[in-house]
Amino acid sequence: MAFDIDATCVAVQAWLVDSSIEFQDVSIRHPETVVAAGPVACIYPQSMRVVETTLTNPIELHVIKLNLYRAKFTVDDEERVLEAPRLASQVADLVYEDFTLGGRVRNVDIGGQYGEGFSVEFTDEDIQETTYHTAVITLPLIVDSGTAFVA
Amino acid sequence: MSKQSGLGDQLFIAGYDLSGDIGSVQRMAKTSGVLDITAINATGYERIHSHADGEITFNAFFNDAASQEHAVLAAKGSGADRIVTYFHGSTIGNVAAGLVSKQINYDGTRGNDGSLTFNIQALANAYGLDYGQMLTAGKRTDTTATNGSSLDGTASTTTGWTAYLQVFSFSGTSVTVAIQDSADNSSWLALSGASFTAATGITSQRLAASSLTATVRRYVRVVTTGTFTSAVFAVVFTRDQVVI
Repeated sequence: MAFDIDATCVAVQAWLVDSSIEFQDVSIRHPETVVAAGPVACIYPQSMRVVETTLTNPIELHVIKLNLYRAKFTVDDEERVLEAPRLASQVADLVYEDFTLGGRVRNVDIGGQYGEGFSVEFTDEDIQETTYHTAVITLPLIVDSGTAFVA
Repeated sequence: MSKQSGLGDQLFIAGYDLSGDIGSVQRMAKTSGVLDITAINATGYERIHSHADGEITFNAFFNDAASQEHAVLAAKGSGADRIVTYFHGSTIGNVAAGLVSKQINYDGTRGNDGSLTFNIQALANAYGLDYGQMLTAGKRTDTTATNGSSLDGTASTTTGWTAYLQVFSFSGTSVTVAIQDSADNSSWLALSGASFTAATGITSQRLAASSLTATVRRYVRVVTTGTFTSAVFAVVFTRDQVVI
């Protein structure tokens, strides 16, 4: 299937679930409900485009967003400013060590071969009266399309 | 036919389909040498062709899986001839090219963005590059002796012929791939000299008519014989055994 970002998101989910990072939840969604104190990972697609072609198949760039959530405060605890960055760092370590996520993912476009590379931004997000430190990871994946050209 | 792109094309090297690893073909050249025979009474250069030549140069993405780009190309065929065939699309009768070549290089480039690509140049050896037509719809799979679909050349020709075979996989005792011709697309005879060596595995071969004026009747087709359960192969055929 061409532009099978469904499969790509599922591959990213499985990769995170199998990782050494102890997430409370890894799901493919935009978080609109309480995500618990965390750490929680939410995966969703940002964009897809064809970046190259081989003689027979297109090579696609699937840009996935990984939102990592960690509650800013918990009961009787101090603000955890660095927990989201630490989570992002752990994910980055995983990416550098295992950049072929399986399936049709050829590799993570860490260096930005086709535009924006692997990156992280930090923000605070309010979800149902709870403030979360959020690391927004841009994960550009180079994917071999499952559909060949037919002349 | 109208103007077309190269999407869906294929490149086969020495019995391996590397189409999914090849990002671009920089040069597919049918050339010849030139002799300067300019006389003193000529106002412009006078030239004649000399030796036929050819080249297929392409870029590939690194792939170290079995039977893929690195495994096939890194050793440059150990110096042996490598038959390279280019298929435009996958329909019988579509344009195809064949080249007996020496693989000259296997040059890698690792970009600072992490990309890893290789440039490969295949230069003609002993024969120039041939443009012809597909006699198989891309890669053809036979599971028993089969008479393939025919190609209508619209008329008989008397200019010889050249044919290229690529065998990608095989299971069984052996398979013989041969070309037959016909005047009416009904009664078929073996084209003299157009039976490839029986294959028992991955292989490639070029055949040519023994005479530059050999006759090929209007219709041609590929047939397989032998004892086998699976043979995947592709054939290019050209009616014009033009030397230059």
